[in-house]
Amino acid sequence: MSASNDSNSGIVQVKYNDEIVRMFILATIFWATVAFSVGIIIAAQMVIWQLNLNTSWLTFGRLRPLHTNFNLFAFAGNAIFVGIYHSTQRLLKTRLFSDSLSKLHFWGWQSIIVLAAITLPLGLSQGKEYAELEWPIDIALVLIWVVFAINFFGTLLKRNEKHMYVSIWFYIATIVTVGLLYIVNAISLPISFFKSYIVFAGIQDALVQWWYGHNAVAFFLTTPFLGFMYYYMPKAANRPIYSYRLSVMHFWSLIFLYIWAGPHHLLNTALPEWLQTLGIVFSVMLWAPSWGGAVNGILTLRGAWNLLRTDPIIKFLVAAITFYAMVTFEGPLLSVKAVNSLGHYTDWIVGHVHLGTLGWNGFLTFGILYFIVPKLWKTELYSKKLANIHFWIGILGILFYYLSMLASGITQGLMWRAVDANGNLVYPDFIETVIRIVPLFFFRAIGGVLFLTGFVFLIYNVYKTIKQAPKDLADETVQIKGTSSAINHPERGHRRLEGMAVAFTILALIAILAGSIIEVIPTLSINKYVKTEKKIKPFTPLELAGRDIYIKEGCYTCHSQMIRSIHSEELRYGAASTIEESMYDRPFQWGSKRTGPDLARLGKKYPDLWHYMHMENPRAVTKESIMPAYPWLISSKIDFNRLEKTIALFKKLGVPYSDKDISDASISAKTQALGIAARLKDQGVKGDVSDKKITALIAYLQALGQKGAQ
Amino acid sequence: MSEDKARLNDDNIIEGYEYDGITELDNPCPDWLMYIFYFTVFLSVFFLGYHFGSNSKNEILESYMKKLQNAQTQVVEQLPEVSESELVALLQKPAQLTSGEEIFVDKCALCHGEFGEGLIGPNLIDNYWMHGKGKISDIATTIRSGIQDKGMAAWKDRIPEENILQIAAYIKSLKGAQTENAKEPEGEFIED
Repeated sequence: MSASNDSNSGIVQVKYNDEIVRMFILATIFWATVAFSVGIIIAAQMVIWQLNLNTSWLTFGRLRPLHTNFNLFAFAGNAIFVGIYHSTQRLLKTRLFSDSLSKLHFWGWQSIIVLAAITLPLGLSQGKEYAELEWPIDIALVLIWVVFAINFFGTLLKRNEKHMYVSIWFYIATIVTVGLLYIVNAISLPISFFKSYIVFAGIQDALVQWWYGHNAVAFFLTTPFLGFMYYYMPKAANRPIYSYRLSVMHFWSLIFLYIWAGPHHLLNTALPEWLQTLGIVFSVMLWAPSWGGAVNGILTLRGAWNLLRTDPIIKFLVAAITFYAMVTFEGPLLSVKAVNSLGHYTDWIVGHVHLGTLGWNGFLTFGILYFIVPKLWKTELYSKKLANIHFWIGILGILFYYLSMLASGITQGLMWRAVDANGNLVYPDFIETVIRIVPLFFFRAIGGVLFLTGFVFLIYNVYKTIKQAPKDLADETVQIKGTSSAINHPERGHRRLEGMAVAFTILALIAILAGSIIEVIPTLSINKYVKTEKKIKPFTPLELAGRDIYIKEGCYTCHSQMIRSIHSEELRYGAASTIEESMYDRPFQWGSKRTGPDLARLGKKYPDLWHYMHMENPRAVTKESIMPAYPWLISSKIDFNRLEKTIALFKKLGVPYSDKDISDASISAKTQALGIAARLKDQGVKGDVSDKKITALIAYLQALGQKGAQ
Repeated sequence: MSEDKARLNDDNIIEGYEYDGITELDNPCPDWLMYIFYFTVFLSVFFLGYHFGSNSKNEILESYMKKLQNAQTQVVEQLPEVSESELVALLQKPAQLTSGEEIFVDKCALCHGEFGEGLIGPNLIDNYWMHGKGKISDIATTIRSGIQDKGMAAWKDRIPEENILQIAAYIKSLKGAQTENAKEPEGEFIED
């Protein structure tokens, strides 16, 4: 037992579990190095396409999911566990609920990251952004999250502090909401150990995906870190929190409003208009609650502004909060439909995200690490000077990154929409708009390198600090006086709630369920939005095989399949996409970024041979293309046998296939492939490609936008 | 700094609540922040009303598209009729042909071969024609509108009319050229 009770004096001795926090700190630093490095690799690939190395598992489409998943789950994830496990014990005056659960949590989480590192480059992907992991890993991740939750709530229930401090509120909201989001967004049916299909289709999947995706930002990258701000800022500055009332106001308004904002990722698309409108208004209303956190953090420094000059920890924390304020102003701005029509699908969004992740999550984590590493290793920070150097190089990196992406996004957005007096696009060739921004990709990569360079200073500083630590790292022990509170008067309102962990958790759950239910439930009956007179033909088995390849290669990381209801999009790509067109798509592939053009109506635009040559070497058909080459698609074979299972599964989910379609799946695919291969041969392709992946992919690409219901 | 200190003296620490040494001040939410909040709520109500009052998204887009299409057709209608003899005259203007060749190599060679020998698309150096009768104006029409069934793109939005005529003339000038690996003739033989 960690706490021993001296019944005579009512004094309890509590020993914190610091070992687990130290383990998570080292994991955070290790995975951050990997995650940042992968980011630099893919940034460089966009400047120099040759860096894709013609190797399947090193191409942008497969590494980009690795980069995002690593930064989310490996870097931010481990940082979250550092902060929560460190501060919760101290705020609740008790040791973590269970040492063995803590260990299980640690090793379970690291194993999941290793599995992600293996499976994502292999192309085992569900094709949903920030949720690419295949179903067995999804299940493992949820189980470990539950272990974390049990450990946290167990700690909460055995606390020696009656009231829960504001940080704890944010942790509660985080744990409950992330669990819910992850589970719902991952509901899928497997056809094998390595392949599954999401149950949601088309707009359902789009809505659920961005309900998850946006709230991953809200409840994985925002709420836990706000909790950290509330603990580490007053600790490091030794000042009281500026306003308790502001804490209460902005906590509840933030978690209640945030959950509604997901549809702002789908503005001007085929998503029903009322959902788009909710996404906009709730995003706009988020401005003040977000700033509430920033204001409370910054003003806590009142009376201690001088620390900003002398203490690198305060510098990191204040800069992080400043970036948070910037990014939470830019967010509502980008959610306004007119601004969004310019910024969406461009690098502006990429810049916006990185302003948050590099600036807010990165810098806050760095500040916390500089603060707690010396404490947990019972020594002094090796060098303040190195921490200061890290700070300035990091700032420079973020500015390089953000400004180049902002310029790139606005430049390309304006070029896409430029229409001349004759009613024609000024830049009809997509590649013209790419060439213009490649130099900015270069500056972005420089920004990434600077950010990582700064981080190397942290690694060295932490290494030196740990090296000078004493051998014996006993857990910190504190004496506390039971649970007797200094409060004599009966408590009312929120103060009372702060003493009731279960009631608080239930209220937080209700707050995040409101928006979730109102937005998600109606779209689950998709028939409400689909016009039945618009008949859609489902993909053929071969086309589905091609679609699986499209997902495996991560084509959606650079190509959208959603022509927005905007005039310049109709001029460039054809009629705006409709709900019906993607009604059988599992997962939906509307995409979020156009490094290359939209593909919603690509079908029949080019001959088969064009696609063949383009996949073999994109430069053969578009001289300046920066797309990777996919030579392995020409040599590796289609797995015809699994098509039967896929079609059967889709039929079960309501796609109008007949029993004959199921039993004939493999034969029909082979027949269609023979036709395409014969045509290719006629046009001069050497060798028989009728059983090669390229053929299935061509079948799929040629079917895009050709299934009716425009 | 001194002003700061003076203000700080007005701050009241809330007694009785301390968490691991952290205390909280009894300050209200800043007014300006609340005004921002009220402003955004007001905007939202207004926007919701505007949205649910009218479902005008498609109408706006449609009317804009109509305007653009009108502009496009007007441009086409205003094009001066160029007679075949004027087009044939282009064949005698090396500058025009060079310009046509440059664009051909850039945009057409991909499917028709660098020398017009044919690749994905048919060869362009013999007197067999699949579309039109081999006149320069016929070639220009094919370039403008494309042949959708066969994967030939319509270029009228992407290449200005002047250049389309130059390319057509250049293609006409290729007749009888000898290249290796020319594709088999396709279509109907038409004597010049």
